[in-house]
Amino acid sequence: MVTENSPYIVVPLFALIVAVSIILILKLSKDKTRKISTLRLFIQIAAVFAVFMGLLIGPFNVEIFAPLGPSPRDNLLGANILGNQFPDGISVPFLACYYPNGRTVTCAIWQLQAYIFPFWDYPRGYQVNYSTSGLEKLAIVLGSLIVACVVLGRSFCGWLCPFGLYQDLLTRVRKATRLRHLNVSDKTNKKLIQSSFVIIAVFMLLSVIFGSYAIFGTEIVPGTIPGGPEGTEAGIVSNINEPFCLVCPARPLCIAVECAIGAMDWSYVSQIVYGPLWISGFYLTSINVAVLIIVTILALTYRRAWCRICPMGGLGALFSAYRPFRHIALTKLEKNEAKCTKCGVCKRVCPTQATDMYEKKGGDVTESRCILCARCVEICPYGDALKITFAGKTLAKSRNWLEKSDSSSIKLND
Amino acid sequence: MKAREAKLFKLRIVAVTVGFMFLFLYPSAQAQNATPFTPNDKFIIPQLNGSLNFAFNGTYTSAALQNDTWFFTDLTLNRNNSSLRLGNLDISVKDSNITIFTFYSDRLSAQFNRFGSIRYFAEGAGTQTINLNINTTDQTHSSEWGVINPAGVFLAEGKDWQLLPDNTVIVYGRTGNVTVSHYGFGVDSGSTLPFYMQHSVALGLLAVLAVTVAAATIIRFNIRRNPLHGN
Repeated sequence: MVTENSPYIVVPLFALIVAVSIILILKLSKDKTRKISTLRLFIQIAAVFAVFMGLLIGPFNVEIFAPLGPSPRDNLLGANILGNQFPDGISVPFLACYYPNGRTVTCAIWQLQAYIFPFWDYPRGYQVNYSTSGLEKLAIVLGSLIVACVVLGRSFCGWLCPFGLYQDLLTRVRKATRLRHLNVSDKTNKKLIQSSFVIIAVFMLLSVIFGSYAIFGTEIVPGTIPGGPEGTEAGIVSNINEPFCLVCPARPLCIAVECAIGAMDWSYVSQIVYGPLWISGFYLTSINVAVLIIVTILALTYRRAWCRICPMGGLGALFSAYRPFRHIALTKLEKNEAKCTKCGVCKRVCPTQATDMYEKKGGDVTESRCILCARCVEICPYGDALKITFAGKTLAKSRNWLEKSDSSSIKLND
Repeated sequence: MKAREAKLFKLRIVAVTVGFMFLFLYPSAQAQNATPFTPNDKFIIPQLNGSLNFAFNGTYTSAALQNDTWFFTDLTLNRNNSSLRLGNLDISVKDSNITIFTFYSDRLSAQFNRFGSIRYFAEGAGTQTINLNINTTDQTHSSEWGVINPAGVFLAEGKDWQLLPDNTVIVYGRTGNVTVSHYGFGVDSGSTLPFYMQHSVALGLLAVLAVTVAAATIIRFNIRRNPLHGN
């Protein structure tokens, strides 16, 4: 059964529009210092549409929905762009909640926590593979992350993450109001990326503590036996499962998108005002909203504030910028020392305040903070001084734009 | 020899086709001893001041009122000239009258073996207690359930509905169209499948990971040997 809004139509049409738009941007964009930024903004927006496309596609290949007629909820759970049953979605290294995206992709942090608790020994998984092994499920998630990060590095953060787009839009708002950004000290900034490892370790440890009954046979926290007499899957368990998701600032935005298109009741949002602090399932908590507000204020002051401590970004860095993965990562930021004049503009425009492209002598200057957004490459006024490469092939390189254009028009206030 | 193999192949095709036809015909055959009902037949629950009826003609093999709950087995609704066996429904209605438009409780499908849904119109802001008899004895997760209001939006749990440990859903205070659905997260552990199928995703990913790491290592090695490679 192919419905009117079948993925067979929506997905190729979407891909065609994106491809044509990218070509048009590359051909028509004349400002060399904004070309990559314009392209990146477009790809970020397209990525959000792709992530949330599950909401836009009707029930697919699901005969049993036919007698009922489709409902918005069917779009959430019935749709699947790939046409296969991937009940938990494909792990992606950026913040994209499970439910809003129609089960196509899933934030890997959610999976890493959920497969420890409450789903350690709960049959979930992929297509016929309803694995009951928590370790196997975790291995699948980590393996997917390694493949993604070895190939594309932290470019997921720079080009695809919906929450990255949100922060970039806040930066644009700040620039429109002619406010200058602030920088943290280099020393503090280096500590921040390290703190992302601590954050993910803490939340994973919490998941292990909550899931101790299933993993070790010992209930450390009372009420955490799934289906047990005190804790039930519908009750206590879902109040403390996936602890990072209870504080994640991206979740309110995902739910806002669902509510905005009518797929979810606004009571999910309003419950945080008059409801309990801990609300089960994929509902919001007041902590989610508080963190979002704080991050929003910070992102209006410090560019990509959240990305500096994001545990997902930390995982991305771990699998692309640290040994042994650093040696085999395919997407790189490279520097030609002979062409560099140490003007420092690259360091100044970097949204995460990465410094290796300025401080290091040459060669591979990709570091854990680098989100491969290519802003430094775009703004560097010396031809071939900086470049983004994939498997040794140059994707983008700095150009000597000072000679042919008016440098006074360049906006460095990023 | 080849002709014999071709004949055997055709025989197998015919056998499989007949098997599939039997599967489709089987539900109808089961409904032969069913009791018919019409939209005018009201199923009353006097103690709770509630009643229910169905919007379409249909059948059941048994319907009994016990403990103020109607237990229907092998329900069918003759909608769109279809009389698919819909499953068993346990329902209690308090201080309201409801008309059931659709019902489905999947106990046959392997792929969606926990799907269940009911859509009804409620008159009077009473309480409806519904057990869809989805194909599991496990306690389900609240996030697997959806209660959808007349505007077609999904209500948060605790807002006019509640899930009990035995997978019974209580809807209270709602009038108009209400849909209660459970979505099929498969519970089949696949333990009867061969090893490579049970772990197909893990094995597939392992292969992809190995190829990626090997290819990346070779590429980086070549780049280091020849810094101008590819540029």
